[in-house]
Amino acid sequence: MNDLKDAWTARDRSLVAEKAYLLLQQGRCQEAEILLDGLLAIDPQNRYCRLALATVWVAQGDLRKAVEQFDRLITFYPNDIEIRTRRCEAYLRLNWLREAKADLGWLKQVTGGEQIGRLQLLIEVDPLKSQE
Amino acid sequence: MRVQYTLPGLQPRQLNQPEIEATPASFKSRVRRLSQALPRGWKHLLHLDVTPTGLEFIGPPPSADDMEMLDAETRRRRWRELLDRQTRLYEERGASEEESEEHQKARRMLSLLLNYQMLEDEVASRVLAESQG
Repeated sequence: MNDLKDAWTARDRSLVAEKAYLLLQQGRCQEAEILLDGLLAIDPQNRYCRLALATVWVAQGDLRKAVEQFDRLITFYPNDIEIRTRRCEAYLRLNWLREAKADLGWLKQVTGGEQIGRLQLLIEVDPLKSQE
Repeated sequence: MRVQYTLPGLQPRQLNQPEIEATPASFKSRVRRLSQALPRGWKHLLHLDVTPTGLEFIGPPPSADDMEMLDAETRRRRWRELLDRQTRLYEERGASEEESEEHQKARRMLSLLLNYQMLEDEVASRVLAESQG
């Protein structure tokens, strides 16, 4: 795997990531997925590419796969607020309330940004969810 | 029903109206003041430069060193160099049955990028042919 990282320089990867982003913007998710998969094969800890791949899965309606990407990211970046926020939202959409509340609790401890208010609203907006 | 015909970022009250001066200012100072009053750009005004919040959205990747400053020609050259170099590396390595999953994914990515390059070359040659009559 190291030889791959040597062969693909940071500049190369940046160019490809930019291309993947443009494809994602155009809704060409399968092509974006191929590029992001390739980039992650070269650099598995690349935060941006993994977040983008999770976004691809969300766009394709596969939230579980998106959560898998967030889980992997959190193993690399346990204190990353954006990743936790995204995972919390994915949990909410999957209706995994217990997991969502755990992430929300963590976020409340470390930040007080508008993201918290948004997630709190997402929980409260659904009467079924707020009853739990 | 009330219809909102204006865009929030373009409300007249939000624009910086130059104050009427008691004494006439020089042309230079007027130009300077007007240029200061200009909005920072329509994308900024309409908040189009802000990535929306939510799972469906992600901003552009962080750029490597001088990437943002590249013109189209330099960018094309970099792409060509990248693809030539990677193709050469894969040819040197040769096809092997024991190729790891990571190598397979990287190869798949390279194939897709080469396809894009071919399509772009086709378009460029067609445009050139048409421009030459």
